[in-house]
Amino acid sequence: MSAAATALRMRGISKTFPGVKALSSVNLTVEFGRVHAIVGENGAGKSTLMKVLSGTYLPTTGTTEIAGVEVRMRKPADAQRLGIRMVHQELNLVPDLSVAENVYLGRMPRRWGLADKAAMLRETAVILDELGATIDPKARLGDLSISQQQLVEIAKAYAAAPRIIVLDEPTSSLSEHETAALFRILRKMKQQGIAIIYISHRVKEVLEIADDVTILRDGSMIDTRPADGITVAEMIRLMVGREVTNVFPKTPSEIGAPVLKVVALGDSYNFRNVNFEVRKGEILGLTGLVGAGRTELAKAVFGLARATEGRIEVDGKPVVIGSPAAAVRAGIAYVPEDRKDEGIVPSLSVRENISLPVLRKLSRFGRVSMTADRRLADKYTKEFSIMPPDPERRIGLLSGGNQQKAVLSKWLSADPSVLLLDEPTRGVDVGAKAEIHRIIGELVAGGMAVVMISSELPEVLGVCDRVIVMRDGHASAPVDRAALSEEKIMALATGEEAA
Amino acid sequence: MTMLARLVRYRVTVILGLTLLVASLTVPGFLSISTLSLGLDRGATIGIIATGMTVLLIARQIDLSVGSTFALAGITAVMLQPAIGIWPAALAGVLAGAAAGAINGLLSVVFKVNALVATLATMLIFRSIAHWLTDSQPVPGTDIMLSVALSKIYLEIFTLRSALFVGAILLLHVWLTRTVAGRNLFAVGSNADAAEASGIAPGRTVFLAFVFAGALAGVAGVLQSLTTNTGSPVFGAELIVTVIAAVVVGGTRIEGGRGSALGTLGGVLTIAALTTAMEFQSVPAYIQQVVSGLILILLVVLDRTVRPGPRTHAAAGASG
Repeated sequence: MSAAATALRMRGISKTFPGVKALSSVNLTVEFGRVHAIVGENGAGKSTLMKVLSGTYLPTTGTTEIAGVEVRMRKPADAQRLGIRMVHQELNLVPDLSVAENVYLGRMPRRWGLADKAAMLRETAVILDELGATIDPKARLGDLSISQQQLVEIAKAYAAAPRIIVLDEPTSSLSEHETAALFRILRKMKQQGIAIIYISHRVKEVLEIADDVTILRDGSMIDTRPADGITVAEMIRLMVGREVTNVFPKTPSEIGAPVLKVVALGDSYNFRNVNFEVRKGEILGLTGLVGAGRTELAKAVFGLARATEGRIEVDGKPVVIGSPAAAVRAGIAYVPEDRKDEGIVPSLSVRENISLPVLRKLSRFGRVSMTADRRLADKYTKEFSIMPPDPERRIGLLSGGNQQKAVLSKWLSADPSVLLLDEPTRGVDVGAKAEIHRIIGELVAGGMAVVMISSELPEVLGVCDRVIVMRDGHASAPVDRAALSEEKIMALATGEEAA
Repeated sequence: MTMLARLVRYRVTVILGLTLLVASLTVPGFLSISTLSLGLDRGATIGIIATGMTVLLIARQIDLSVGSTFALAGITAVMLQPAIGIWPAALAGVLAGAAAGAINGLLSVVFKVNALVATLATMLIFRSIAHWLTDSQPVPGTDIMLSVALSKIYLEIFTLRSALFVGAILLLHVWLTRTVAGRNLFAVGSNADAAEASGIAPGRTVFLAFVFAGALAGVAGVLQSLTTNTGSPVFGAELIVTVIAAVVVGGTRIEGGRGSALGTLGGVLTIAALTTAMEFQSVPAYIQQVVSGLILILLVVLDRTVRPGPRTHAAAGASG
């Protein structure tokens, strides 16, 4: 094969941070017109490798060739000039600009020295249409939902007509419908000869879309092989270095009396007439397409949004929840979907984040007991194996899975009777995912009632005792675990009868 | 709700209209050309500085030192007059303002000092330099007739100062809404990481914004010195509060990413009209400040509580 046919060749890439070797001698070869998946647990070095490729980090050693030419990229603009485009997992968009301006950010077309808004709007409409997204190019980006913003981010990379496109967990906020649309567009880009690097924790998806798979573990490259002839179990084994038998183990627990009861709840906009109850020791799944009203419902129950009709009962007594503080007093806790913005205080340490909701409990005469505070953080850091095991580290520096574990423990210390989880394993790797499920299992075994919002059907099927499916703001009747199947849920979510 | 939302959207215009209405009813002859011209001229100093401040606030920065820069530029322009002549000295004054802005930019971009802290420090430093250069005394200019010439009124309403202000606002409006650099400024203020990842250089943008704001404070300071034929180290000591108030009244967000030049024009005119009207009515100065403060709070509260349409509106339609 000639050198020009190879889109990217990275040789012996190492990256050392003070005290940490993030990458050691990684080789990566990506061909034009192929989808190359990179899989690995959090902390395996995927993000670091991609930051080298996007010009954010200069590697300590190693060389990079783009289309056969050796290059040195010192800043993101260098990588972009070479035709490399990133679709970031943490959205990298500007909330105060329009969709079209975001798509063309950094390379707006000019006409007579001015930004050509008409051309931007026109082209953006064409691209969004190609992507199958119904988004108004004139809309302010910050007014869109997270999944729509994700599509804009993909449109932005695609619009730049890249030679190499890197997608980091692109489906973590997409519904199954939208994922299918994304795969169609990826196949089209592939036919146009674009080299696609696809980073994902979702092993099944990787096998569906990828031509080649590279597995990273602990900063080293384990293997690169064609996606054909590799099984899910094998891939997971290579990623974690051990056999994981059941991806979604279910811890049995005893189900007791109803704790939280929601009656005819509605906000007259996002959801209407929702009824359900969760019992002690039960995990109730709440699924449906993105935008069906699940998050809005959870926020209303937690007092973050206002319900205009219906009522909420805790332990058989009606409660008025006008604010999150009232919800916490009623024994309800909420772990939000948007971890970065709502779940953590990134500039505080793991310890400070964990004790945030219980500072009053930890204090005597208004003074917070540092000993109790430290003991609590130590306990959860060990119990949930938060990595690195240093409660004084700034939580913003931790990987997504470890942040999520800290967020979970934050609410555990408050000891709620009902825990609302919104996409608790979104963007979290396989190992951490299993651990989060184990933690949730322990919580319900201890008598907590859990409502878990999830778009990932295998997770819903594996973990939940009962599931309600939302569609256009309406909730289905709960379906028992025994009667559940992916087909059944999709039928309820889309309103199409299963054949 | 939609009516209220629309009112909030055009709140500057509404407030300005109300101010003018009340003023015209209570102050006889308020809407006469000469009164308006006076009000516009008085607003021009604040306005020229506010034009630069608008750019900085959109970039999520702030410059507290503009009042000191204003004084320093004026002093430079007057003190150099005997040596190099009036116009070169005026240019030197403007350049002094730009240099002050460059120092602020350097501190906040290269040395990563928070803009509030950096410009608080330079506010004190520039002010002290102004006192030191002048021995804390006002310095007279060389040509007393120039101030008369500069106060001349064109087209029955504009002085040189107010014409410059309106011109600068219109140019800024086009720049902010129509040029690529202007749109990039919003990107930097709204999400600097995203801007950088898209190939925009946020550091350069922010640095230039500081230089621009400093230069405009310099222009205002030089004009002030020339029209009064005096350079004084105490000039502009209380300007900063009014300038920020005018920009924020105009709808520019202090947290960055949002704002407009025409909004600033409205904010400046509102404050100028208020001040002028209340002075005509002999309302004491401290009451004037109370009214300005209340209007500021009212506008910001409206902005925070009334949103034009629910956030998830588009989302609900798309994936159902």
